[in-house]
Amino acid sequence: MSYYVLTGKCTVISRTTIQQVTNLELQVNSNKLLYKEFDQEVRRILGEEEPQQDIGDKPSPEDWAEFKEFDEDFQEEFSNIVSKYDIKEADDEFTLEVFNDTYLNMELALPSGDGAQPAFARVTKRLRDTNGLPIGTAHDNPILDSCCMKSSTKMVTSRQWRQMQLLRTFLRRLMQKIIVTFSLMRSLITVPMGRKLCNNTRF
Amino acid sequence: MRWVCKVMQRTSTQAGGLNGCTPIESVTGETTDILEYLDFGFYDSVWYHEKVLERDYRVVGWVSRIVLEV
Repeated sequence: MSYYVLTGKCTVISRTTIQQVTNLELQVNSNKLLYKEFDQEVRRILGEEEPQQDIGDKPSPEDWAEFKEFDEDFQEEFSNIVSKYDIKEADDEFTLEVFNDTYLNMELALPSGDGAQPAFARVTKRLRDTNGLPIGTAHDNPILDSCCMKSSTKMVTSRQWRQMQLLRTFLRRLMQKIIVTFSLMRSLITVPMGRKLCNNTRF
Repeated sequence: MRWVCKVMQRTSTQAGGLNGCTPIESVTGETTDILEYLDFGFYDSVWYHEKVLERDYRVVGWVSRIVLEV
C-alpha cells in the first residue's frame, strides 16, 4: 500500500513508508514553523489572501452588552423567555401510568384446540417490578412479545403460543409428506390400464 | 473530493434501501476492505524519507490520497 504525499514544495510524491507526526512533535517550534511556511506557500499557489480576522466581528459577549441592556428589539429577540404558569412542568405531572402497556385491555382471538371456533382473550395486566416500572420492553414484532394473555380456557404465554404454532406447522407438513409418499407408492403399483395389482391395499 | 467520495462509498447507510450496507458493497457484492483508510486521514501530517546527495532525510508532508491500485 502506498500513499500520495503532498510535500512542502506543493508537489505530490508517492511513498510506501510514511509515519504519523505525533502530538508532541506538532508542539515543537521548528515543526510549527514548517507548517506555517507550508500554509503560506499553499495560499500563495492557490491565490488566496489571508483569512479574515475576527477584528470588528464582536466575538466576545461583552461587545454586545450595550444592546443587551438598552436595545428593546435585541432584548425581545434574545432575552425573551416563554413561560406560562398554568402549564406544569413535566416532572410534576409524571405518574407511573405513562408506562401502561399498549396491549392492555386488547381483545385477541386465539385458535382453540379443535380449530373450529376461536377462543377470545383479553390482555388483563402488565407485569411490574417492586418500583412499579414495567418489566421488559415491547418488541416491534407482536409475535415476539412476552406479554401474558388470559384466555377463556387457560393462561397461555406468547412463547407457549409460538411453540404450539410451530408444532402445528410441523405436523401439517409431515402429514403432507406422508400423503405424497403414499400417492407415489400407489401410482407405482398401478398398471397402465388402471387396474390395480392389489385391490385390498390400504393407505 | 475524491477522498470524500471514497469514504462515503465505504460508509454504511440506510439510504436507498441499503439497510446499513455500504454502497460499494451493494455494487460489488464483496465486503468492503477499509484497512487502507484506518491508518491515516485526509491531510494528516506525516514524516516521509527523502534522499538528498545520498543522505537520508526525514521530511514532513501531508497525506493527499491513498494509492489503492498498488
